[in-house]
Amino acid sequence: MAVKTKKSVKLNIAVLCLCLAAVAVSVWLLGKLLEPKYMSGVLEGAMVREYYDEEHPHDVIFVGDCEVYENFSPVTMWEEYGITSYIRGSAQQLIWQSYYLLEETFEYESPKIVVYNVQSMKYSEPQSEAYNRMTLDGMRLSGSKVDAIKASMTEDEDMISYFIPLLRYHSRWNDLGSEDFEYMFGRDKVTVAGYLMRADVKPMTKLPTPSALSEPELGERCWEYLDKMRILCENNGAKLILIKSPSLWPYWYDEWDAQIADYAEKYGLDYLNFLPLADEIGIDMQADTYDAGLHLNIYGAEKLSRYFGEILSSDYGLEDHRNDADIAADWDEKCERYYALLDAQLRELEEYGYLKSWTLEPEG
Amino acid sequence: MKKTISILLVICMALSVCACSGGDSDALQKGSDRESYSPDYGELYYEANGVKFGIMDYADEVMEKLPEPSGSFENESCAYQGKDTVYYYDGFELTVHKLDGDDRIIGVKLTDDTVQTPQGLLIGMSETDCASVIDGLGGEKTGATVYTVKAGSTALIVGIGSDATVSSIEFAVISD
Repeated sequence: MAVKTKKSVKLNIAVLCLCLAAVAVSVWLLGKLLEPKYMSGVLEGAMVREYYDEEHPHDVIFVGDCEVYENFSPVTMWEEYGITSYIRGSAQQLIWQSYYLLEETFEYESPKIVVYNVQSMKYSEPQSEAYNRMTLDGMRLSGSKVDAIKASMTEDEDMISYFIPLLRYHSRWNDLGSEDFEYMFGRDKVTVAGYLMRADVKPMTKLPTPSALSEPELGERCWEYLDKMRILCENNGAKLILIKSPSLWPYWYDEWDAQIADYAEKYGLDYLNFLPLADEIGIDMQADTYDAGLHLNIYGAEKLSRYFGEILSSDYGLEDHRNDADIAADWDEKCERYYALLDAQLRELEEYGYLKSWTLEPEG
Repeated sequence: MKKTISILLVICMALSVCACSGGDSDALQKGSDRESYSPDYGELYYEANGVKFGIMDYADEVMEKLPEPSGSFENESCAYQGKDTVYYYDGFELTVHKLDGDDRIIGVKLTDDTVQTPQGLLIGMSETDCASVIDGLGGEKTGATVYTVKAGSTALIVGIGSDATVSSIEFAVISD
């Protein structure tokens, strides 16, 4: 009788384990199916995960929002100066997200220069779940990811749903399309070294009137994370450069600029505000922007990258890697994709008059 | 065996509950139905061409009564989440945002001294005169160079320039 009971318990445990495993696999598979793939339309959500495919380390890492991933072209800096760089940017990336992405980056490599675009200093509180997801869902599981989620969550969000996507995305059943099945276990690259290309042109006309600044002081939480970022760079032997890219909108207030300049001076950091340098860089907002002054298109990004690349090369003495065969081969492949994407976008513009897919895999 | 099945059922139910609790967070901002909408801005409205309007009004209903705007600007935030459109009119700008499929007014900003608000505020007026108007509306000084009046979901924000005159006047959505 005792033997029979023992057998029965063992059997029950075995069945339970098997069933639990089946549930876990089902939940994981369903999560994979239901999570947004960002392979068309809003490509920005697919950017963060692409970093993990990089094979060689980089001398320069950019962190920040669209003002880095739309405005700088790593391929141009490679072609002109042999600088290896990567943009760990994402849509409306908040400074704590930049910090944790950078913390994670230092686990993988030791860049000489870290470039942070200060536009996001204007946000001292989490803004929206949609943007959080586009940055955080793509991060690999790590302590940095957990801390980034904790720092980023809005009131309505649950941390567990970042680890079990099914909990968040179960209601996407009705929206499932072929893209969800095609990219369930792998995605195409949407960027080249973190740069999200746009080859279309929409000239700037008239910008809206800036609002009065109710609170000119940048938020305390932002300063706290800027301190953390500065110390993180110091501890990892990287030089932190603060920049403000030359996007004309959203408006960058003089009051904010002065605070960043003061901070940079206090800690011996370099702060490059490219806004007043736009003419010197050669940026023409009639030809170099795809959305009337908010973001640069490829032509503007290449001009800005040539200008900044020259500074990085001459003032910071970054090494020219073009004679390193392994690195050069990797960048040759990146350049090839870059120009293939440019050709694809130009073809779309010619055919439709607008960018239809923007992707690296042109139709037909 | 029955116990095993019971435990599994409990796990499945727990997962279902968790799933349902997280399901609606993509309804980021809910607007109200057009039929049941009533403005909450009280006296904090703007008037142009005899049309009174304010924050959260349905933009199409307002704009069809106004002259054609002289231009517009699509304020496309990163990744197209929450695109605003700014329409330019003589003396003011109208900012419109899509909520639940409807374009709603989320900002009215005066751009020059050719117009004034129904409350008597004008770009270029002295800070003293402005303070008096703001006081009459129940507002207060909320920063070194800013006066604010609030009503419902509307904030009337007046900025003061370095020459101690009004430099900006804006009706905006109270963000919190």
